[in-house]
Amino acid sequence: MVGIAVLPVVVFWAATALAVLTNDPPANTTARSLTVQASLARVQGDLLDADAGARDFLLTDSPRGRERHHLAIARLGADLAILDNAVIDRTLRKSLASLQDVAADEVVVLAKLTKSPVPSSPVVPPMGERALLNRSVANLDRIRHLATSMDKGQAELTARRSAADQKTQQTYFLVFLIGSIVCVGAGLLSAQALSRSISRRVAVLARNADRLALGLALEPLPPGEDEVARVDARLRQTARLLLRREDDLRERSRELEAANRELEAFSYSVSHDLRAPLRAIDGFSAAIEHDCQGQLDAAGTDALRRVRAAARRMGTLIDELLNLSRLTRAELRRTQVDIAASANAILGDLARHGPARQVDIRIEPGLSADADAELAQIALENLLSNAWKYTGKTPHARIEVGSTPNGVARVFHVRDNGAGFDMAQSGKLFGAFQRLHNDREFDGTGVGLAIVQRIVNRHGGRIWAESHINEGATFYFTFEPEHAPH
Amino acid sequence: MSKTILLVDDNPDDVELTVRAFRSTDVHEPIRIARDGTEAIDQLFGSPSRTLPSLVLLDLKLPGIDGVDVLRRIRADPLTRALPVVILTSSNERVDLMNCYRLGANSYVRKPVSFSDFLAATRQIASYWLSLNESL
Repeated sequence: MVGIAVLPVVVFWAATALAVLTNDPPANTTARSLTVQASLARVQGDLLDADAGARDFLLTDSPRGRERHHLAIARLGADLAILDNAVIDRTLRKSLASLQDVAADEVVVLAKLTKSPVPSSPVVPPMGERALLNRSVANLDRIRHLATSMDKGQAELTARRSAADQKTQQTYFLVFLIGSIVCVGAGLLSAQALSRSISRRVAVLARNADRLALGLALEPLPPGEDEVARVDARLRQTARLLLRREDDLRERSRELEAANRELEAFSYSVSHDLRAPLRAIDGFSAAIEHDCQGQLDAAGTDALRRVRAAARRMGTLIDELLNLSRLTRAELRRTQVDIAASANAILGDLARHGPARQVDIRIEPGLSADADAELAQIALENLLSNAWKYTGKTPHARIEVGSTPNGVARVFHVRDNGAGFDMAQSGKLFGAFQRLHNDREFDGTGVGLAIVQRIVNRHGGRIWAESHINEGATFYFTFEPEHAPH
Repeated sequence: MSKTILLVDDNPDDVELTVRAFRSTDVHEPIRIARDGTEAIDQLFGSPSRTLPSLVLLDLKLPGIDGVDVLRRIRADPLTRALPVVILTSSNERVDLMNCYRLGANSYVRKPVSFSDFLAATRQIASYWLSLNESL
């Protein structure tokens, strides 16, 4: 953000520096002015010297005067060249041209007076010595006059120049100052605008993430090409993916429902169609037993008895299977179920319907569960009839029903001190038609615990068991998930 | 007026076993057989000179017109409305039970696989519906 604010200033400064460096440095007017003034003085001096030399020659006719004149004329050329170089102003150069003309005229006049070789131009008409001397005096007067005016002009020029230079510097400074301020301001404003637009986009992005989490449609992001836009594009991709998955899931559950309906039809058909032949097998075997009494030997009678027992057993298995499938289909309706009362009633029934037994029964008073009443009853019936059955050969039989709180869920248990089972076989415990004891020891179809597990599963709960052979078994179960849902 | 029993069942084995079971009871009413729903309706509503049975033993799963349809017809007609109907079927599906009681079945018995159990059931049905129970 600081970079964005500073960038225009840096660019402006760089541009200014470049402009200052590439511009010609302003001419040093003061130095030039000094050169002009000195050269003017020297030119005047040279001409006076030459004039003096010439007059000396005329008066004394000595070579000393001529010599002085020659040297002065030689210096004059060099000094005029310096002056010509130094003067650049247009007005001053006009004066300079006049001065050069007059000086050239004077050179010719002096040359004539000293009988020296005369330069080809300018042409001076032939005249007498006196006239030449007068002309020289006039020339020198004019040159003094011109030099004075040039001197003055150069001084004015210098003053004007330095004032202008100062003004230029002031302007440069002002432009620089204002430019810097404007650039910093513009930078700050644009940075702020940019950050405002980014924070607005980020806010939309955050809202979209929330909406995605809630499964709502995403709102449009203000246009732009940056990381925010990329993340937003990913969010949208994810949302589309989720929608597709949801459709897939819906399709699956439709298939599942169809499969369930088929299973229901199948169960119905099984209950009717498979039981009928079994009734015939048992019924007509009974008819043979009845009608052919006396004609059958012991082996024949035994065989018929086995046929009838097998048919009845198969009938039981079919019924158990139907019960199991019915549990999956039945709707789950949770209420507060009085587990203690149910357990008491079930154990009372078991005691009434079996041979007289002494069983120590301990049920946690007031034990209740949030569960489907019908299903919980079936689960308890199976667990308690197991406990009753497997303590059948145990002296001092004991059956306990209780619970322990465990985080979110209450863990119920049914414990007995009966035959127990080998924990190595516990994997088979809840499989349908899986038995850990043979029928000679304890009869059963092996469906009871499968039914209990299915009931517990339908409640979102869990069932597990602990046991040692001949030391009893404990079945733990819950009617709700043990971890809080996320 | 002689009492008769109408047995509606499409399975010949079941028919034979049911007849056998009734023969072993104290009641000796003749058993008339209908092998499907159409026959049952024929026997009940066919001829004007018909004699109504004292008891209908009705299977549910029949080809064509099924047991529930027959029950509905019986209860819809003023003459047969009070006829004792005992459902005798393989199904113990809750939906079938509710349907039959809603339509006015007097009793619902699931045929047991064990013939001994079936004999016991038959005796009870016969003694209750043909002797003990007062019907019109």
